Amino acid sequence: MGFEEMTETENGKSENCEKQSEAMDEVTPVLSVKNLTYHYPKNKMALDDVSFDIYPGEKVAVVGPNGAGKTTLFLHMNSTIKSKGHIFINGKDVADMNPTQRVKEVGIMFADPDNQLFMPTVFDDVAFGPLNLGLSKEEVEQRVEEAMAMTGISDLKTRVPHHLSLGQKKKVVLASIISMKPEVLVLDEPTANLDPKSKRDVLEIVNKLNADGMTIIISTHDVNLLSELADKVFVLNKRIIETGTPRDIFSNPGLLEENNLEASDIFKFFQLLSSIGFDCEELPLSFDDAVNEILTQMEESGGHIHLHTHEHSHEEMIKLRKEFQYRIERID
Amino acid sequence: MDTGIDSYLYNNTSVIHRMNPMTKVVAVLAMVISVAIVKDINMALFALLLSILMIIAAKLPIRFVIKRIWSPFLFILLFAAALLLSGGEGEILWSIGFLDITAESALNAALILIRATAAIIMITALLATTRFDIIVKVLYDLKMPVFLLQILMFSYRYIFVFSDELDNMRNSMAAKGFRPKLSMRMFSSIANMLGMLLIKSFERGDEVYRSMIAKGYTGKPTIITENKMYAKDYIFVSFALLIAVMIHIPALTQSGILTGIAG
Repeated sequence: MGFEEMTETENGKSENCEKQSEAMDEVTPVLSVKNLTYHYPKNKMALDDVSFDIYPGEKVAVVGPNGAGKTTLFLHMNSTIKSKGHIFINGKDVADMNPTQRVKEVGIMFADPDNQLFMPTVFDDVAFGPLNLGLSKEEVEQRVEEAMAMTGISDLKTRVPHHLSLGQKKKVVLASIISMKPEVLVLDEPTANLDPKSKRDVLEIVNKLNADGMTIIISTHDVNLLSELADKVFVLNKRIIETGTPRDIFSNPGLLEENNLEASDIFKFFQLLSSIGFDCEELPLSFDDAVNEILTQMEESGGHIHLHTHEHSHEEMIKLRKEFQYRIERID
Repeated sequence: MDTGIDSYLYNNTSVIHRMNPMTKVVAVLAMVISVAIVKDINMALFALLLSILMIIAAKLPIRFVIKRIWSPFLFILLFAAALLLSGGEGEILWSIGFLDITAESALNAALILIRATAAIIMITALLATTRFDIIVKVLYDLKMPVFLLQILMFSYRYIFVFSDELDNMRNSMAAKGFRPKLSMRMFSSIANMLGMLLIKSFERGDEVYRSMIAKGYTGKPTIITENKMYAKDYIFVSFALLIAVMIHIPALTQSGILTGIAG
């Protein structure tokens, strides 16, 4: 598949996305950010007129370079940073909500788990939120059990947080947020510094919560997981630079470069393959997509995959690698 | 070797480990308060003996106990030395220059040393055999103010975080070639390191508070406890309280208070 064809397909996807957005307009957004501007002390701009809507059940990623304002944006979402008239949850201004109301609507998981696990045991940490909601002891215990089972940490119930690994700590924090059953779950870099198995675990938990109807907002630098973590992506760099599907974002090399981003390894690899004759309708974004694509191709062409170089293969590969920010010398 | 205060928590081999935490906390607190104010040296020695028996019953290695009590013991030793040299009435046993050690000052110094050591050993026996979170829950059941408990909980939780941070900073200084040598530069580097730790602790404080707010914290208690006391626990606590009171009988009798009451 050539680049033009691919772009056409992408346009097709984008059109679908737009149609979907139009349909969404009729639904009330679960979270609305309206013209949010924020300056750090000393007048350094953190967020510049940020506006977007997130609809019930969506799984959204916010990506952007370090210092783009992702955490600052999230801190506004539960009114840790006050901003009256800018953040609305189900049409209500979050700044006007009392803490109990707010945590029922939005649960936030910050990046450093040590700051979020402050109780003596895992059980107490997971029970902290539900107790603040004023629930009965029985209901608190039931929610704690459910949240721990959902995150696979039931065996850590009586452990003290400082004896846990980072992966375990992140899961405990996640359990301590979902035990409050918020409508929207905001995760600030949930997979950062985790080993591959723990990343996969977090991903599965997040996807399960989303399948159960929870709206998910994630910030991440993990482009290889992006397509699995989110259906919609906001590129944030002080302001919203772009909105689209992971494929829309990965297919825009200029956008990626300007915002210190990159496409997933699989996407880049299949772009390279397409320059030597691997013809696929849609470039795969994840490993699973890639396996499916290869198997489909093999079935269609009698158990083979045919790759070949042509007149422009070499140039295309150089161009692609340049776009991927590799050193051109290494190709020669 | 790990000599942290909780390093023998999970041995769970002794009768003291298995004892009801409420019983342990009440018994130890009663004994510690009682020992701290005991006037009779023989009774103070008896309390010291009791504390050593607790260590034996808890099967705690003597090296571990010595390591745990060493720093507070040195602190008390300083106080005792000051008391010893502060003079007082009675026969002068020894003179060092203008400082006299009298029978009274020697007795006072010995008394403070013995009762403080006994109290520290008892607390060590409690902390080394009972999980801290359970002690906090017992104190909550004993109606200790929630704010005090929260300070206690945070101190315990973040001691480990800060000690990790300190270790990281020390390692990174060593990785950059820093060797502690007695010089102004060493003092300045250590002061910078401690300063950085202080700043980090402020920042962490803010972030912890932020995360508490994110979980709907309103200042209300957020502890669930499930401790049940049985008949044998009540019997043990009563016995401990009885001993805590009885060690004051000789002093009270001597001062005539008890005989006065009896009369």
